Amino acid sequence: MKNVIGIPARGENFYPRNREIKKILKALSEGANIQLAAPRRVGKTSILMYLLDNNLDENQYLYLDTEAVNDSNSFFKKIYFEIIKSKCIGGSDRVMEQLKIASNNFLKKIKGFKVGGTGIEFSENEDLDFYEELTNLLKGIELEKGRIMLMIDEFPYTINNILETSEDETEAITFLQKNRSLRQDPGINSKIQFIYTGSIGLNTTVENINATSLINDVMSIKVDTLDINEAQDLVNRILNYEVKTISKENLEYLLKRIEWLTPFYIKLIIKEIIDIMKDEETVITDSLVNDAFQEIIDFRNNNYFEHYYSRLHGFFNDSEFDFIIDTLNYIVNNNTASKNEIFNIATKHSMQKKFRNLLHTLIYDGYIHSNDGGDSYRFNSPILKLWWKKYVSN
Amino acid sequence: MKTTLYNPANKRKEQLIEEFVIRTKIFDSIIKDVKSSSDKYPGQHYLLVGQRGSGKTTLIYRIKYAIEDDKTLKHIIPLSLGEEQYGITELVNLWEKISEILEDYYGFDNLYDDVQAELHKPNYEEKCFNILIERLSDQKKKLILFIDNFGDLLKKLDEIEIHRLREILITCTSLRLIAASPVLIDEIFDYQKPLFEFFKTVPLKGLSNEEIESLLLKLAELNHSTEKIKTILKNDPERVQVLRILTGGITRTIVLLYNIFVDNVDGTSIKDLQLTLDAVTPLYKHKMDDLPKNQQKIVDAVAKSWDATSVKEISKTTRIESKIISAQLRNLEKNQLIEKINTGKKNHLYQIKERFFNIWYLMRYGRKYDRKRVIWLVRFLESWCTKEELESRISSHIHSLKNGQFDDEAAILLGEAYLGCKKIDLDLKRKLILESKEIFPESLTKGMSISDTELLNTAFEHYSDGRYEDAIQNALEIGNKEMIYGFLANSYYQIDDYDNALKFSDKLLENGDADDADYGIRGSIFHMLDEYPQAIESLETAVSVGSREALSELGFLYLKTNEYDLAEKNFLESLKYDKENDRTLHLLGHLYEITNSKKDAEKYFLDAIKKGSDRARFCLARFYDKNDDYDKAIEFYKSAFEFYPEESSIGLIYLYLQNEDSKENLEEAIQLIDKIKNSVDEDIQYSLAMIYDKFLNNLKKSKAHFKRAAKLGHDDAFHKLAHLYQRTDDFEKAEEYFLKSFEVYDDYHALLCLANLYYENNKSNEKALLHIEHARKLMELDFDDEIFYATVLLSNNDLEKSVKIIEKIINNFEDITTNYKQNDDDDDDEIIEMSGIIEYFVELMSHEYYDAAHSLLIKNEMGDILKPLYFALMNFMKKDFPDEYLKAGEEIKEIVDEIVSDVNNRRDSRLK
Repeated sequence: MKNVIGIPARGENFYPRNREIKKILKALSEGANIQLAAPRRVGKTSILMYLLDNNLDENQYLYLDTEAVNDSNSFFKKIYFEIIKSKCIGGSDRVMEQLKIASNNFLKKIKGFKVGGTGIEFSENEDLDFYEELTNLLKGIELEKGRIMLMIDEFPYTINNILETSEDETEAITFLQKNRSLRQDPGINSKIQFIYTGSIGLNTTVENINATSLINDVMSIKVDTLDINEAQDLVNRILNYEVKTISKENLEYLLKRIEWLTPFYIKLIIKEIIDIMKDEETVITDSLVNDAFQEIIDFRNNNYFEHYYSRLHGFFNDSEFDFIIDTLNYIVNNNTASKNEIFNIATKHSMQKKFRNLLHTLIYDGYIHSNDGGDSYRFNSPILKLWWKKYVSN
Repeated sequence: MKTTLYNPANKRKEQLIEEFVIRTKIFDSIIKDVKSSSDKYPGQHYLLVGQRGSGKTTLIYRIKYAIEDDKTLKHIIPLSLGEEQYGITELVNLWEKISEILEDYYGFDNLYDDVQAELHKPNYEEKCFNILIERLSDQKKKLILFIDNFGDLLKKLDEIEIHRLREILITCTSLRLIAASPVLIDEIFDYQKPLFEFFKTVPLKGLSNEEIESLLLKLAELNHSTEKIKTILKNDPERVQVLRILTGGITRTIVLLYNIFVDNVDGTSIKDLQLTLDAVTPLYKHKMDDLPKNQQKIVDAVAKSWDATSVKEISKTTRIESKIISAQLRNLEKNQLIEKINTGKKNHLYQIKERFFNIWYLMRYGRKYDRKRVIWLVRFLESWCTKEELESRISSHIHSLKNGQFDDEAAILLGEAYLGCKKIDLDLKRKLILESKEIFPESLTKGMSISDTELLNTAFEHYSDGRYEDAIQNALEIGNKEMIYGFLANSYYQIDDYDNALKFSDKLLENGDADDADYGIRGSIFHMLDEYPQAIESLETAVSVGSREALSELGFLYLKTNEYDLAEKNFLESLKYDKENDRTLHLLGHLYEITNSKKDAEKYFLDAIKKGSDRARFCLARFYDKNDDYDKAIEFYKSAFEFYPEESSIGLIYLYLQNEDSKENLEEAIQLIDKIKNSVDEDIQYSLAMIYDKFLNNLKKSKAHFKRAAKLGHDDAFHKLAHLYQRTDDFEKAEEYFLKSFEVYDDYHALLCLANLYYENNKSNEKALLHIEHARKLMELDFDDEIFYATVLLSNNDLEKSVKIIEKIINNFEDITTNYKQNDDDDDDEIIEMSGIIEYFVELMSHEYYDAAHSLLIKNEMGDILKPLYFALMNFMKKDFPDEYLKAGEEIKEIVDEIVSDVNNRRDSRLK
């Protein structure tokens, strides 16, 4: 297995996240629309790609990244064309036939394309209402088999983009309403289900415009870390490609140091270890592990980490800042902090009313996350945590 | 070859591959990945992060060539965007540019036109991109896109475009990105940004020692200097370490310095450097211009210091508050212009992160004639060459100059660097300057000189080695003399050149730069010039501005000027701060000796001895000697003997001879005399002469020792010798030595003694008068001498002048006698003066000038005081005052008769 970093790991480079995949497939089979909620770099997109790349069931999985979309119509247009180009429509003779003859009123209303003798001909008219087009298309067609599983990556970005380019929240709210209609319309939701992901949590984004009710039908599935065996397995697979080895003890030591076992951070440390190893060295020692952690901090130091620290300074007033630093220090030193422990810290700084908002900001900005619906919190990045421990909390 | 080393893009492919000896591991790993990537999914994107000159471009080209040369990778088009990317301001421009290159170089006909056709349609970016990808896919090609300065490109794109780029990079299988950046880009480490941790980041760190060695060996191979470099690597491996620190391990800078190292013939390497600097100027200038004013100032200060510097120093140079500097430094650090060097203490040091930028800055913005401009080169040369190597380089540099082998500017630059090297002999530097000035126009060599700092450092070194003349010589060469007035004053003082010392001390004061130490030295200078009031004034100033060291010297001056209370006050004050100071204790001993506080004197002399003053042993011995404590005097002379054997011997000899009743004492004295008889100390010889005269009655030996003392420079020896001859009636010798004493030592008294010699021996009254009058011109005569003068005038038949002189004396004498009478405690002096006056009157009467005598006595109402004289005169003036002489009382008759007889005797003998 190659040590792929940054882009989604696919094919043999993807380490199967069986627990999450199983949960997703189960929820989908029950007709749910879902969101994968997790901080950045946890592996959400890789999971989506796994669903895309493997024919797991009779459903048609489609992947869309809408982070660069900044208006509602473009969003639906993107979905519209993706669906048309997909196997379940463009690749299905039966569906093409339905479209060709415009077998029902819905299909008759479609203006965006025609199916002629040579196949699909797209209209040159760019001013169409693609939500309408999409609704008509989805309502009008009969799929050959299964449903369309539309995976929309970075969906919250789209909402944010719309918010940024429009005068007020109305357009974003309308946009969310349209999406909900797609999910809830019985004529549509029998043919399509949605899987949303977003590194900036969908809930947080929507809460900001008081529109939680517009997504409360979406089921949240959390993406967990690897367990120790999986993590060991992952390391060994990568080392196999790199032609390096590590003893069981040193591997345990390495993973203990990483602590939060997401593939990304495991890979990052491995990369660093390989980088500092000489060509002729093949065995990873514990001192190499330590050096790698130091290197990874040194390389990012000041610019990378200072950014996390100084940003808080600029953002919050004195007592807010003190509460945040105390909280982060507590998490760093205890690995996690429970809701009660954080509240306890909040009382010290008279932040009982504000602390929830402050926590949300920390989550939003990528410092911490909760894996259990807000019962406890931990650092996102073990590297940031290490730096914090070394330079801030002590 | 050298120039292209800085510009990998211009280097021939074969050459680049041949010279590629470092970063091989990274290269191997990327190529392995490219070769093993699946076509089905997008490949790994890379971001190479390394300073300018760290080898990013070389690595990019090496990867590009490897892909081109690999038969299994024919489906990949490696496409690098160098300067072409500067026209890109939005994402679509990137697709346009790629289309253009593909069409121009890779046979994608009409691709550019097809892309252009979409430009004015809605969603043109997406459409253009799709066309590009379709065409690649049609030809079954994939693209590996190399983009240098990736951060600059990202800055031009808006956030949505960057999201779009991310979307493409995640989903498109035909495009792989290998980007490079001199700095870690915000986009990569900001959690909120689309490209957060998106790339496999490959830091191109500074080369390790091993990598530098490989690089040097490769360079050496290309320059045919393998043996030379191998020898260095073997014998001086620490030079590699130094090179790494100096360059930050950055390939380009290492190559640059290496070339200068191996090239000492015509300065080509320096010319190459200048070309490279020209090439990076637009980029670096832009970088500087983009900074806010305050940051520019800070970067300027840090760059010009070259070595890591502190906030305090920066604040001093920029006159910006430390607080602001710290804040701005954080920004500059964040922008990776400046690097913090953790000192492990509170105050960190800062330097320009990219050393080549620092070199560029110094060369472009350093003051033209400022040595700082080449400090980087100086540091290199100093660390990479031994003193001998450097000196031999300079010699060969001078030789090349003479042969006209050098490019002017390169020669001057290298020359400046050599002048900046500390370990070079100053004379060789002077030669280099001389030759350069002879060969090059003045405009080029204007600033060539040995730096003030170096001269000053050398001067300080000489000073601390006690080589004051050398210190002065170097200091006098310093251009900015204002900074060294104090140093010069001090150095001249050390070599007893008080006039020059005072001259520079004056200049220092004119400049208003003097501190307490300077006033202290000034006081000492005046002290040595015997200008006590000024010395005291300066020392008082020194003390008032905080000098504690000056207190003791001030006390000493007050002691010398008999201001005993002030002397005591200052000495005691001085001891508060420096109670161990044996000199002060010693001087206090003398003070109390003078003020007759014997116990205190003894105590302080003893304290001074305890604190290490050996001289105080001798002075204490003398103190006991004077106070007739024979035993203690002996004891301390003996204890001082070890340190001052001759002086102590003299003290002991005096003591032994004063107590000559003991035979042992005499023997001891003789033994001691024998030991020191050959002393080369004038005072010892003089003392021995005195001892032989006074105690041992051996005039022959006395004369011999006086002669030796005179030869050694004792200024009183000739005089004493003359008297000795006079005593033994050797008139000629006496005359000779009085004259010598006058001629050699400006001994004016010798003239009087000579006059006396002539007068008493009746040799020549004229000569006697001549010598007195000569002496009178040179010095002020005392009463006795004036009386003698008046007497000699009588013998030379000048009564009028004689009387005038004596009247003056009598007038002054009266004042004195009145004063003395008022005090009435000691009339010894009065008696002496009186006897002189009486002598004169006797002489006057012997010349039969009775009226003159009478007139003097009456006029000055001295008849009552000098009654015997008066009645003696009356004896001779019976004609005019018939009965007056009879009035003399019985009690004075005898004296009157003696006077009359004396007058008669003198007259008779003169007549004879």
